Amino acid sequence: MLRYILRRLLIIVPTMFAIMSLSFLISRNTPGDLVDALASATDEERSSARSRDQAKKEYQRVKTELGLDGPVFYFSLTSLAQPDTLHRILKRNERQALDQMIARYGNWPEISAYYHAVCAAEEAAFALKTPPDLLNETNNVRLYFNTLRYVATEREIEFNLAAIDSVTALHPAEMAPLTVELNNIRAKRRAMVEDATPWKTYVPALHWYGFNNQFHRWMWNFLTLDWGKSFQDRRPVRTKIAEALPWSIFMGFLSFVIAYLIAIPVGVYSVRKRGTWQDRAVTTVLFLAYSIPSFVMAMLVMTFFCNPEFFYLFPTSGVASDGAENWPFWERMLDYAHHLILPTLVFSYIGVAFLSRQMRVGMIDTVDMDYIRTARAKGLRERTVIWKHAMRNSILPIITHLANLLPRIVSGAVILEIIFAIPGVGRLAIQANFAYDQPVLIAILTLTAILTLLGILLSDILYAVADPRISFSKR
Amino acid sequence: MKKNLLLALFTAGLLLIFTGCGSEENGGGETTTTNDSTSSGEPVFGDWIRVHTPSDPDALHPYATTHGSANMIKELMFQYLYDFDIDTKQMTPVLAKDYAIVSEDGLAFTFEMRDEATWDDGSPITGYDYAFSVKCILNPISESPHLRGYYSFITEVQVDPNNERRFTVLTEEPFFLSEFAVAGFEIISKEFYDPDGRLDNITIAQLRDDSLIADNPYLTAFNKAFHDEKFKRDPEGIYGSGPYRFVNWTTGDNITLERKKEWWGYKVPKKGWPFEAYADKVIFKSIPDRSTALRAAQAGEIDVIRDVPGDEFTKYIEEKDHPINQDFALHRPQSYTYVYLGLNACPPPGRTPVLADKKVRRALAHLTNVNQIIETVYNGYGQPIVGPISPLNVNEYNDNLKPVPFDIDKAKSLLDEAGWTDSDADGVRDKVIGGKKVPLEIEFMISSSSQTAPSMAAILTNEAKKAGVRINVVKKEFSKLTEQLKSHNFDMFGAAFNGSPLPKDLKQVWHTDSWVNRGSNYTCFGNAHTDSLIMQIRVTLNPDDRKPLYHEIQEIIQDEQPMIFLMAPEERMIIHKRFANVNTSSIRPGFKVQQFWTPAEKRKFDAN
Repeated sequence: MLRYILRRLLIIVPTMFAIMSLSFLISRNTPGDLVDALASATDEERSSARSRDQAKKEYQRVKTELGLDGPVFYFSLTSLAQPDTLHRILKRNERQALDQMIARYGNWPEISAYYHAVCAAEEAAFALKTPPDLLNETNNVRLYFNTLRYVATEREIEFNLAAIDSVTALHPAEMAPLTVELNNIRAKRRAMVEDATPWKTYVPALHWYGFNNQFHRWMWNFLTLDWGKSFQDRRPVRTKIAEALPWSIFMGFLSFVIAYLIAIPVGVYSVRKRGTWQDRAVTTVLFLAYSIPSFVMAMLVMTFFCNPEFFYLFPTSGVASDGAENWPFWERMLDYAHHLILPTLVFSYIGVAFLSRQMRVGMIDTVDMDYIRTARAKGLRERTVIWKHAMRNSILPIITHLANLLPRIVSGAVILEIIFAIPGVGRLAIQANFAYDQPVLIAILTLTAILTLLGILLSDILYAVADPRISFSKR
Repeated sequence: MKKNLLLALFTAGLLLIFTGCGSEENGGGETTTTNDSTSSGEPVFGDWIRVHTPSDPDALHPYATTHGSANMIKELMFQYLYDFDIDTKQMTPVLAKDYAIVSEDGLAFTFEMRDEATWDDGSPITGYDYAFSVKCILNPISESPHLRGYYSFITEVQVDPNNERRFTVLTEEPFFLSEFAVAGFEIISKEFYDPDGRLDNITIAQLRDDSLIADNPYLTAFNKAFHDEKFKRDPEGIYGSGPYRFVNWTTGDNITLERKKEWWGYKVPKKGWPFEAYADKVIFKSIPDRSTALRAAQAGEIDVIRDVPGDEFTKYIEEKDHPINQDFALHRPQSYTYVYLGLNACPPPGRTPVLADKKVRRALAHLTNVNQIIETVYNGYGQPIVGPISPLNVNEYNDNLKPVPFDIDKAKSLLDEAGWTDSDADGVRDKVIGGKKVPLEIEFMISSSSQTAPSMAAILTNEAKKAGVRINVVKKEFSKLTEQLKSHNFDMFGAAFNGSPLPKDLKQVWHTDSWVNRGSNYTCFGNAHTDSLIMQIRVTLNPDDRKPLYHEIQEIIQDEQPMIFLMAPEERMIIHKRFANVNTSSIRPGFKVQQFWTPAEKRKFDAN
């Protein structure tokens, strides 16, 4: 048994690593440029050269702060055409454009030369002094040069170059410096297209970056319980989760206990009354309950039990009454409980329906077995037969569902926490989601994954306890 | 010079309405009063006020907060030199004794603090506190660098050596909103926030220039201490001169403030909202779901709710015996916000050759059934508008302009004039541009999480079809959408912009500077002339001289039609009837809870 548990724990390690790296890579590939969104909130005026510099600095600062610096993973499995220095390009959209070009032309030195020509031209365009009546044209040209930095398709590049051409052609004298830059870009682009080495993109290549990469830093921090800071309020993610956890644990654990306490007797009852109207009634009610979504149920109970028009038995929302922070400890605990009962009940009812059906199915299979008939023939009381002999075998399927307990406690009941205004982990996750708050999201995701694995292990162990025939150590 | 945009306090923020993420800017707004106070008489202390907020603020730090919901709470604890008067919509002195004495060149402003104004320990609020506050804002390594941009035009604060309550603020360049800007941020206590005097030897001039202040150990030490968790969420660390004291924060549930029994405001002989505060407690309850909040109101757990959903609000108006109406008064002040559809008017060769033509843009405006959009999408809570300046800004608004009428025939003839005809009779107009036949297709970009956008798009698409214009609705993820706006890679999008009773600074959205470099001028509006108008407005200090400039630029904006202006929305809030002295306005948050008081017989909560 112990050996089995140890072995399972060992398997959990690589599984965990896989899950963490996967969720990390997904989070790094979300659309849009997060850095840009966060950095641009702080820089406003950016047309002068100085503030362009500042904007760049700000971008770099935010990027470092978010841990988006450097290579993403330990290694990259790409093609021969891919340089191992692409991660040094500051902006994400420019990196993506270069990626596309590499895939098409496969000649990094030429692509790099082209990119640098574009950057130089953009600088020149912004440095260009033109008379005020050419303001619109100049601005337009600047915009096109800027766009060139992050477009990759032939069509788009051609379009922007032509656009710049059409302006410079009208004002050759004022735009002379740009014509030079434009020719340079064209030359570099020709080299890039003509000396293309697309075969390189078919030769796989492995770049090893070492341990100084984003994932390694993140994972190390995560394991040492440094989960970073929330983008929303700069508070440590760990504190935020720790604040939200008690509510979710209370609701999750209690609703689980309630679900089992109700579901098992109900399941057994309907087996004992198999085929009678009582069984059919129970089945119908449970089916109805199972098919009502929890948010509808939440609305229903709120309308009937939190409403002066009907019964005002429970507060509608939140976890504490007004002014409760000054109450004595036990009154405060009772107040919390008063607020949490209703959401907890709603949280558990779907579990009741589901588990009691499972229980019924398991039990029906068992009660037809020979040994049960033998037990009855021995003259044992029906109660002993069912609860002692049949129970142990028929409970196996619903033990599996215990595996859900742990992750459920952490991930919370998202919808219910929103509706009832419970500040639990589910609500934290949803709000983080809307605010693009990656550190919070990825921490919750990873925690849930870890607890799912532990939950599965736990249910395996309980299996062995419930059924001695399952012996892990021999396998 | 970075006297940017609008001033931080009354910031006009861009809200992409089609986002679905409810953003709450601290903006201004107008309109008064449905004073439902049924009882009159002398105000009395007591009772609690419970205000709904959809989410917790990020912090209650005087400066390092960005959430809109923080302002509503902070304004009960921190005070400004001036603040908006909810009745007159004017900036009125709060901590300042009177309006500033302005130097002739408009660069120097001399204020004097009220004699009564003190911190909680009885020490006076002085010019040194003001100078300290300016330093905190200009701190280049702070967690609120956006504020620095707004206030870096302050060059010096001189405190009168003979009277520490009197001080002069020097600014860099004349700017029409300077006085309100320098009077419009939270004044904090130097003694409390910097007891060791770490900023004493650092000057404002140093703080304004990054290179002079690099790695100053005093500044670094101060900065670290100033942004400590203590000053963000700890009752011991939130210290201001306002009437309320922060006592409790249960994360995700409530934030509780308690009235200071000995507050300086009570000593001011002249009455008025800045010197009043009656309720013993103000509790901000965080409930993410609005329908839950409304149920909580019905159950008597909440007293004030803002942004009530339009369909619910209509229900309350129509069903007189709705339970909400028993206890709550409905308020709907008109706001300074404008909602618009932005068009990509970038001059050729822009992304789209279609919308670069003024006639096509005008035709689209004629095809927009604004009234139907207001009725169906916004449940009727809005007024049509003509441009970015609200009609409530009477000094700036050009009332000669008329909204572009909904007129399909006019649109058709405009399109004909512009050369768009349906040559292949497929129902969509087309035109030969650069040797290629281009159909009249426009991409309407909406955020995938928006709730209002799809119905608005449906109305637009329908009407446009009748004139042979095809509008393709494209859903985009929010961050992708903003990215495309910044790089002018769009045809049409929808958004809203906040305003305030102050004259509007048009630079952020309408100047060509913010067109090229990924600023907020997404539509590529402007030329040298409009730029000079915008800049002229900023340096013209006399309102009467500004008027013709404002009028001209509004005419140009309407003529160019870079945006289809839809409407100015109305705020919708409900406030419990037991309170007296309830004035509402769309100056955010729309009410001043410190004014509210409850007659003794209606009181719901006894002291504590």
